[in-house]
Amino acid sequence: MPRLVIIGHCPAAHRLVERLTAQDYPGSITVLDAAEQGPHNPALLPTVLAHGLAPELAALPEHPSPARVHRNTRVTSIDRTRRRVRTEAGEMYDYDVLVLATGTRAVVPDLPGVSDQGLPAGRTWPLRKPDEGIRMRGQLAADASVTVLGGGLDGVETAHALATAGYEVSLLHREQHPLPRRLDRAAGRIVADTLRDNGVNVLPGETASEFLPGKLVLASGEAVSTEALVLRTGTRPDTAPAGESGLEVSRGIVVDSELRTGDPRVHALGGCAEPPPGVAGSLLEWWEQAEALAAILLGSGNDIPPQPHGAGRVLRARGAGLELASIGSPELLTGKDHEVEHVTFNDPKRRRYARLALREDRLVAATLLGLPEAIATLSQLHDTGMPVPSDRLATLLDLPTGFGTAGSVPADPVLCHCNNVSRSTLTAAYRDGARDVAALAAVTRATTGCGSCTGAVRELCGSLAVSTTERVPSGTDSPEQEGAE
Amino acid sequence: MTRHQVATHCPYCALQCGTELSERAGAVSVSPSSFPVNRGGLCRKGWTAPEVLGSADRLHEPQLRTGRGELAPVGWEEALDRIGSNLDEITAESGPDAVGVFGGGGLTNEKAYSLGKFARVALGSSRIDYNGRFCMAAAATAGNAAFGVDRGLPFPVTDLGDAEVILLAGGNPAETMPPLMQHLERARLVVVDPRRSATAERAELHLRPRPGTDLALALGLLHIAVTEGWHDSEYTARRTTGFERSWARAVTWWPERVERVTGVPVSAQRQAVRMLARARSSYVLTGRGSEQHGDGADTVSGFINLALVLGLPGTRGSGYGCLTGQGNGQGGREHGQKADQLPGYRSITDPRARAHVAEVWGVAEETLPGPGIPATRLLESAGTPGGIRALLVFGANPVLSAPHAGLARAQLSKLDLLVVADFLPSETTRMADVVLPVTQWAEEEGTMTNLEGRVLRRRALLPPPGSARSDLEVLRELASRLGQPESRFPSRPSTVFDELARASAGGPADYSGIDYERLDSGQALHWPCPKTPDEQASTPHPGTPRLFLESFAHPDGRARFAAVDWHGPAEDTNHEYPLVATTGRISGHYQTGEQTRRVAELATDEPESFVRLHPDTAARRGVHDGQLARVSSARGTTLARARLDGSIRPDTLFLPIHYGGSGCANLLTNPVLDPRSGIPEFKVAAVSISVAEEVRACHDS
Repeated sequence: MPRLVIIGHCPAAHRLVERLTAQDYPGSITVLDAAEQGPHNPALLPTVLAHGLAPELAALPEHPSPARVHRNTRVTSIDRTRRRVRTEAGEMYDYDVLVLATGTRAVVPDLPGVSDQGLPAGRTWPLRKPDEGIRMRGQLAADASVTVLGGGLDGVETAHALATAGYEVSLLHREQHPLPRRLDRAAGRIVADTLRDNGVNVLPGETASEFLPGKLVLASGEAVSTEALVLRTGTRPDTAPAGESGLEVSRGIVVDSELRTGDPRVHALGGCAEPPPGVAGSLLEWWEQAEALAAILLGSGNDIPPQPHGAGRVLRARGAGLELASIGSPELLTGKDHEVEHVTFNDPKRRRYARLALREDRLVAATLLGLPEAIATLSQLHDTGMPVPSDRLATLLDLPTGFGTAGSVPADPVLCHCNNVSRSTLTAAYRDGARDVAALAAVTRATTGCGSCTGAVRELCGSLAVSTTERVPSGTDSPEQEGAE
Repeated sequence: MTRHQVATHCPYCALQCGTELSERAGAVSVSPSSFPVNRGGLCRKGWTAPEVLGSADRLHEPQLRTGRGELAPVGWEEALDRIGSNLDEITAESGPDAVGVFGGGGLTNEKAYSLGKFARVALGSSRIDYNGRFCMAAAATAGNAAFGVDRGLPFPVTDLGDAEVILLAGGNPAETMPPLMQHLERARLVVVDPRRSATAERAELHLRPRPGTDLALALGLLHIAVTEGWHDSEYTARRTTGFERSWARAVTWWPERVERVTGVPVSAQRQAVRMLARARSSYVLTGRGSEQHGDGADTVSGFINLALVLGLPGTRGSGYGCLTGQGNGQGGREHGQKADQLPGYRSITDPRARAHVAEVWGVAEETLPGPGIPATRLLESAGTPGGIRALLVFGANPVLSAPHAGLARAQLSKLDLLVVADFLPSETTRMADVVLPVTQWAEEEGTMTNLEGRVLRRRALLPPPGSARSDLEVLRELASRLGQPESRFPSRPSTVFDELARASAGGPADYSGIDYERLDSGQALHWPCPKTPDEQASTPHPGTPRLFLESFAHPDGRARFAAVDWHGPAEDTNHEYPLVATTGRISGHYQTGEQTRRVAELATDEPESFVRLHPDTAARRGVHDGQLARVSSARGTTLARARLDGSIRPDTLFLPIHYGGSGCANLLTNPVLDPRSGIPEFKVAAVSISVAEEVRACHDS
């Protein structure tokens, strides 16, 4: 019976334990977690900031037995020869399989008033998890001024969510527009304008130099009045205590495509791990790692389930009204590759923008702003590898694709679909004496199904009444109507 | 000239529109009545239903397969004797479970009751199930789990007329039950459907999930309801249990993840929840689109969870309901033709229920068999070791209606004895060893229970044609050949109803306070309607139009959230089968079309199977509008005429279920079953499509 020990309880570790317990892992599962509380769902951070949420609702569910979770338990060393870990309190845990899942740490810029010996100073919030967001909301007045540092997706989401909640928000970032590595200039400007529409004071091309009580001093010398500073300046893998145990650590703990370190008994996943290039670090991808590792640990590693829904890179902003998606590699959008077809739609006034890169009709990369339906459709087409419909604009604007006879009006339209009654049938019945809706219904059954054609039938009655009284054709369309019968 | 007229109900769907049926000189005509569900409305199927009564190939005489393999007319005695002796032989050799019974959701309450009793008492077999297992079994399972009782709509249909917002998950009543739409006229509709159906066209908001992702959508809507503060926590604390467990799953379904899986934009998800939550009166309704999945019961539970978190069920003017499909789909699931049930919607594993029913039936409790197996498995077991050797089919056409129809047909051909009681020849009667002609709607008395749990009288206008007999008479005759006293199987419908009522007494679906006299006097009786004690006989129970206003039917009186999660359909698309086929109904036909395809007007308008697909999907495969296409899955191929539809998802094909032969949509479908309810996954099959008429394609280009 293998003894599985997991160090850390990041969301990826949580999913791993869930999968293992659901599939009756044949060994023991022990989680050693330095944190006081169980993990929260990190995807809920923008929701928590925008709407507030009871902490217990943001928590990921407790594991059923037999998994045992020890909180407040920091691992200080790993003895890979004896296959034993040691905790701060001096307890020993023997393992047959070890999984490192210590997650990430926030990067705290080394600036006066921001960093206090590498740790965040007072009124500075390196937000990463919903519980931190809940705590911050609890300490701020409802209309407090908050400055968010960092123009990546995290910073944009955070600023948007805080503005939605009613705070007075500034977003400070170094480049000329938000998400500089993913968006071109036109798109970046639209994101900035979207944030401004929502009340965010966007400060591009600026960096902070010092955080003083009530204000943030910028490198340009100007100051932003702010009561709290939120850091969204990035994270770094938390690699302790892997490093001390002699495992290879680069930016994160280096693992192969099966999430194995140099020691075959030791795996790492989630934010602390550094898988081969190309695998990115979103929650969905971490969950896929967890699914894959569960399959490996359960011995069904040859049969790793395909994971279409996180496959390929889709960056999707979270938050009501923040319709922003960046799909695939931005390189492909630059227009340098002649094998690639490009589609561009730019509507800055309505904050809408699309840039697509297609290869043989398949979507290889895209930037989409303000086009909610297109984001939904195209991210799925990207995931499934299905071709993008030939009517690109209809796809972007969520219009039905036109084809063939679409748009042409039949000569004798069916007015009552439930009973398949055409206008000519109704007209004939009218001429035969059925002069109102009830009489027409009795003769033709029109309107007796769902009833939605009642208005149209009444209208037809009315127009026939007019054309019957005006017996002399007056050059309108009534003679043609009669001729058509 | 004499003219007969009766007040009765349409033979088709669960709406059971009220009709006046009259006969003059052999010609039957119908007109809608002012009955509350249809209020003078009727769809074209209902208008043309009398034509089925006079079908040229109506079954008039019993038929027996001859030594040369053909069906030939015989007398009733010979047919029944043959069945009786064959069943005796098979039972003696292989035990009572070697004989199966397959019922239908179109049978009257009396027939459904007698069929269940016949299987358990006369045959002693556990192997009974019915085509309702294909239909709304998932909603029944989820409804029972949540509320302690399953009545499709726990409120009268007319209540919907006052709704502000209705979310309709996987239903298309504008085509399948048109007269229902008059009750949905006022409400703002949110329709969940992968294609732009006639109902979706009326919707203020149309959510178009990829087929097979409905549960992910339901989880996402619950997630938004909670995170945006629409959770009615006072209601959930007072009237429900289990919110925390269901939230533990829904917490991981944030809107952007749901968008990625379902293809439903985040903004539309939020709008749906806000519409429902802000309305003073709102309903969540499910149809087959939510139900016919390998996770069908979980999907319905997901939508019920949403309704519960918003505080809708059991609140006047709001609620959750299932739009039951078949004519007696409601009553058919209450009286014991379901594998796991006894009359009164009782569980066959509940000792007290068994004792009560055994007493009514006059048999020892221990002689009653235990639970059987769901319909698809029952059919698959034919001719296999330990499976059934004989099958009696009443009011169903499983050769077309079962998933993976090719397999169902192959299995049924292995039976030693297939008996089919029907009024028209069907794909299933054509395979039978014995065909028994039985009465249809306008030729028989009985009761039906419509989608709102109201018990209705079906009345006879015409005598049965030829030598056709009622199913009740057939069961009595068969039972007596199996050694049962004739008195145990009465054939008079009102007598059967009275016994059914007694058997249901004290059960969840309690009919014991209902009789023909009350129904004939025009009383609107919705079950439960228990018998009042004799001293209060003058004030009979008024029935229960609205359930749950005080409490739910679980012992603690609370509704239960279900902990459900999405794992995806059983079959994913792949290189060979890159598209998803989903199936459903159209306005001109009913079920497998055996009745409606015989109506000239309906057959002329919709003569053959078709496949709706996106113009791009068609163009890539060289398929033109109107061309015959070949649609294939891992299980089979069907032929259908292409209809291009610029509003359907490009990854989705839609096929109607009403056609036979090479146009049978179920040749494609996946026989995987929902583990909770036994409903098959009719709504998701991985398929490919290509041109069937290659010559014409050349001419076109």
